[in-house]
Amino acid sequence: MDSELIYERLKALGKRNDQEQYRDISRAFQEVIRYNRAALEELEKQLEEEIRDISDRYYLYGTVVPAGDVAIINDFLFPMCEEPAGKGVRTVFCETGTADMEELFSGEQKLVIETRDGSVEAAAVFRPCARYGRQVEKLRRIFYDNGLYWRTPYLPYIKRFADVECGVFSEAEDIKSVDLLGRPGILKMNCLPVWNVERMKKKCLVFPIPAIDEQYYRHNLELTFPQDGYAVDMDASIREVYFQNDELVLITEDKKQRDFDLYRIAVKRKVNAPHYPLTTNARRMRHVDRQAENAVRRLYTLAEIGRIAGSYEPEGGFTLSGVEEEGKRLKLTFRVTKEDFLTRDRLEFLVSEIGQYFPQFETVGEIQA
Amino acid sequence: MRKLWQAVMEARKEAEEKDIFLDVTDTSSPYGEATLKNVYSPQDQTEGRIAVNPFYSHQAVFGDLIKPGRIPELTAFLCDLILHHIAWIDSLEGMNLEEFYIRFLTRDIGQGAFGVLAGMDDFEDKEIRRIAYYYLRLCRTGCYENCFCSILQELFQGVWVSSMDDGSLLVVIGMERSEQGERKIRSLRHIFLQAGRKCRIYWNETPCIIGCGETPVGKSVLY
Repeated sequence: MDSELIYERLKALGKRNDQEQYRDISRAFQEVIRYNRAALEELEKQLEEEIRDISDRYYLYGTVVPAGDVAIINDFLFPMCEEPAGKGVRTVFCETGTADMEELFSGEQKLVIETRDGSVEAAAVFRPCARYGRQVEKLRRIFYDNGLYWRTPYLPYIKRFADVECGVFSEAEDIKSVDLLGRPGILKMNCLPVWNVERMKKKCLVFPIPAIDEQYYRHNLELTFPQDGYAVDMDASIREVYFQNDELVLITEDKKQRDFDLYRIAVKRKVNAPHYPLTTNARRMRHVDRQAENAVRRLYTLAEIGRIAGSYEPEGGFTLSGVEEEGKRLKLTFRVTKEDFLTRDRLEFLVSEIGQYFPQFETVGEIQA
Repeated sequence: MRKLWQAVMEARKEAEEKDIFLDVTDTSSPYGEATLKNVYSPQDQTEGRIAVNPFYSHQAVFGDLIKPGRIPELTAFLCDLILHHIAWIDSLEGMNLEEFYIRFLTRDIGQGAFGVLAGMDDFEDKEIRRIAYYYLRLCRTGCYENCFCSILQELFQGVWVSSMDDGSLLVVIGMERSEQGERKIRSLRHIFLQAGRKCRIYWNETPCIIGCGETPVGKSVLY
């Protein structure tokens, strides 16, 4: 009951004595109402969550941190790849837009390296760093093997890493700053991409017991973080994988204890201000999204485009401003509120995500000036 | 046999909640719970009053509160407060899961969940609720044309939908062409029809069917 109603009634009451009594009793009664409202809200929340989001635990997050910080982060972000760069090669992170990166990879670049002994000029060859991309590709295969829905990842930072081949640069230890493309400060050394995927090995702590089919064996793996998503590196002997009572159950042909390769995809946790903003393919799930995702079959209406773009809206600062349909082509126009060096990647991500929903169209996107 | 929540919901179409007074002092029918007092006498001063028979279904609540004889003003006001809450609870209790879903969808669609492609400014709240209902049906069945036809028939008058050989739709609407109407149709097409589906709209004009004498020869002809 809104206080407006009580106020109206108070005005309408004639006697002053009555007014006071009414005010006191209505105040007590308002608590009852508040309790019932809260109960309704809880029910509504429960009803919302009843309709499942298929990639609830499997959203990917990523950012870039200085190499020294990796160890102290937390149980949420982990380095993408432990494998070191090749000999005579140094991996650097460039804080520039996509166009600049293309220019970097196009030919030989001139570097001005400032060391303790003075500045040196050197020619360098930049090549895209493929190690991190390979990790993403590997995870995608793991997702397919496990029957999980693979959502387009939004990890734009890994495209900013480059392998640099340059005699002086690769070996020098005491580098103060490097000037590239005439702009100092865009080239960062000793940075690592991190994401919320942890590789781990786990084994069943007790003897595997026979599975219900009396042919295979079940291994119960105890999980430290049962709220997170898990994927198993499948091999031929693994028959089935499922969650049960906060444990991961694997039905395999092996009757002995053995290690299993697991991937833990951590759900979002609070992170202490990373140096670069966290990028993610997580969406906000409104009720419309839940219903449309769980529809009997995927809807191919134009309003779906607006809905999908809308579910990614709040974080990216992107708003869908128009859709043009030209035969087999679908042209999406976006309006951008805040622009930074990741804007083009965000656009690519949105277009590929929408394109995944509409395989019958060739989807292209552009930013409205 | 009118229940309290029915009367309140009917009154809510016209008035806000604070303007509705649930009156236990007024004489009401012993055979029903609530009577709208201003239905037959619009000039009456007691506009927005609903006469309630409190003992009809809530004897336990009001049995001790209301004594025979004249009811004091304060008691009447307190009963109004309690009855408002009872009506609210009753109206929620009748909702099933699907209606809750429609409630959520109405909220989301009203807030512009479909973005620029399907603007909702031209629709009234009641119409948005119907759109939500058919959207839910679309999700459940996946039947585009069926839902599109049904929603058109509810929101427009004299709608006539025909499916052509090439899969396109032909829609005739028996209303004058207006900009608002066109915007509405555009939104509905985007929500309920597949992308790339052709759909021709004719306003207030019957297509001539060859071989059928009753249809006049106009701008469009069907075979």
